Amino acid sequence: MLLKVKFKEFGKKVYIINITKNIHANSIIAWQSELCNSIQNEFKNIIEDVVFSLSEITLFFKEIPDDNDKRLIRLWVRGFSLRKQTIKRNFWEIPACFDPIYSEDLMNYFQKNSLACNTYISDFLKCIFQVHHYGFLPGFFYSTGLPTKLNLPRKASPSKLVEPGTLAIGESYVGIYPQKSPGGWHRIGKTYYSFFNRLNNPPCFALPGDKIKFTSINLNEYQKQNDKIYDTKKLPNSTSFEIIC
Amino acid sequence: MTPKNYQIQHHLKSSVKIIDPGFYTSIQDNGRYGYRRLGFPVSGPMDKLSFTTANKLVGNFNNEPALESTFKGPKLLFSGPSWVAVSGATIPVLKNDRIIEINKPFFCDLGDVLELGPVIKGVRSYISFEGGIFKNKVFGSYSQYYPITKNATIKKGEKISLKSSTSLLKQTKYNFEINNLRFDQQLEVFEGPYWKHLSNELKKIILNIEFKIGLNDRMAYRLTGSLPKNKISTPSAPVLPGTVQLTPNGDLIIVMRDGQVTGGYPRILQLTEKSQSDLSQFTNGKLINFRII
Repeated sequence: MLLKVKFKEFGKKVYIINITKNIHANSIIAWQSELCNSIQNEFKNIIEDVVFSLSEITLFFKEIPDDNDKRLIRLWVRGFSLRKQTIKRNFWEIPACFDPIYSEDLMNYFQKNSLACNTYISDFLKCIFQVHHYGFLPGFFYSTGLPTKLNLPRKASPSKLVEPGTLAIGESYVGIYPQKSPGGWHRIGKTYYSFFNRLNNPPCFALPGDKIKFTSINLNEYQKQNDKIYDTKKLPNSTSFEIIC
Repeated sequence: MTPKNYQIQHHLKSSVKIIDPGFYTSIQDNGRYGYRRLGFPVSGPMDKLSFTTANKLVGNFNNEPALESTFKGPKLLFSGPSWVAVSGATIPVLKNDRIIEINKPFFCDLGDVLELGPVIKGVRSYISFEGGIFKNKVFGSYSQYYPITKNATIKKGEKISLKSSTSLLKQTKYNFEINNLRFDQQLEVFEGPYWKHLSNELKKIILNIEFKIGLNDRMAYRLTGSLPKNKISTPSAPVLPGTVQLTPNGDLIIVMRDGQVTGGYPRILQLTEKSQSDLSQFTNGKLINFRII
């Protein structure tokens, strides 16, 4: 097993660690997110936050760490990586409406060619996505799994206001806007589920490593459910699965 | 009566009513930590040094939640006693229409009206109360940020409870040197993760030219200089308050307290805490430059 733990300074109280572990690419996201949770629990006296992205984990220290702190963390990470893990994750089924009123950007992208739009959406519905990491806004997660042929560039000029629940594509990522915000991604549909609710604990139900599949519903169904469900604590249907790494 | 009960009585008694919230006034504490992985910004005071000063002046040595105002401060009506201090921007402070010095603690009581006028120099002011603001924490912090908290700012007519315990007060205390009265336009920076990949020529330009502040708010400061366009592409990676990112058209974006937790632009520099505080006191049109320390 190949494992490298390397510290890189980023300011005085922030360190980036590069970790390489020889496991299946599909498992790495869930593994990294578990590692982050464990580091934060284990070192909560000296670490205030841990964030990960594709290739690096960023540690935010409360005070400037000394060499001993760094050595301890390095040893601990090595130990963690040697342990065999069984990680529980969920497979979510998210109903979404792809009616032209919610896929305006896609229509514009294909210059109002509804055949191209329909083909795009039917290909999109065949994909299984994986929650990667949170960023941009509270509860906004980047999902991977979009085939290259479905990638859409960022819009030349961002929309001033994107509604919560909007499904959008930014290059190879899929995201769902958790709140009203400006947005530079192409809007392709809308769901009535809320991916961030400050009254829920935890406020975000999707975990890095979770899988997502979208199902298409018509406008009528969407509006009926939206009135009932939006901003409540109800979660979408899911089945759980295990990742062994 | 135990001292504990006595304090609880005080909690109920002292409060301020917001007569006018000012331009953009929010409650801020040290920040919201431990939730970056869900995309929560850290929030907290933009000018942490002035925030700390304001707190120390009223004896809050552990940084209690205080008010952060922008440009024009709020107008408050006191319904109980509290020691108060204002620090940060140079701003006229009026207590019952009489001018009060900033960076010095003063006493307010039932019926007193405190008003902070438009700033003379700087952008942000901090109003601290002895003991701090009494409120429920949301995800470990008092800092306001919508939609994590119900509102982004304080609202007209809102009542804010204070934790003040005036009985513990010693008059004319907390005389310490305040060393952040001047905001430095030369920002001190560390090298960011991408710095070493930049060409020597570009590094030299960045450290030698002045940048003009453009759009700015609690999320980010945008700076324009005369940097050439570039085609650098980096994967999305964590950013933190004070991270300087280089955009493809040659502008710089500095992440601030309510900023995103990840960013896709190369992270070239990182501001020190002092320089983050200084920058937050400047606005559109101000020229700044960088110095690596």
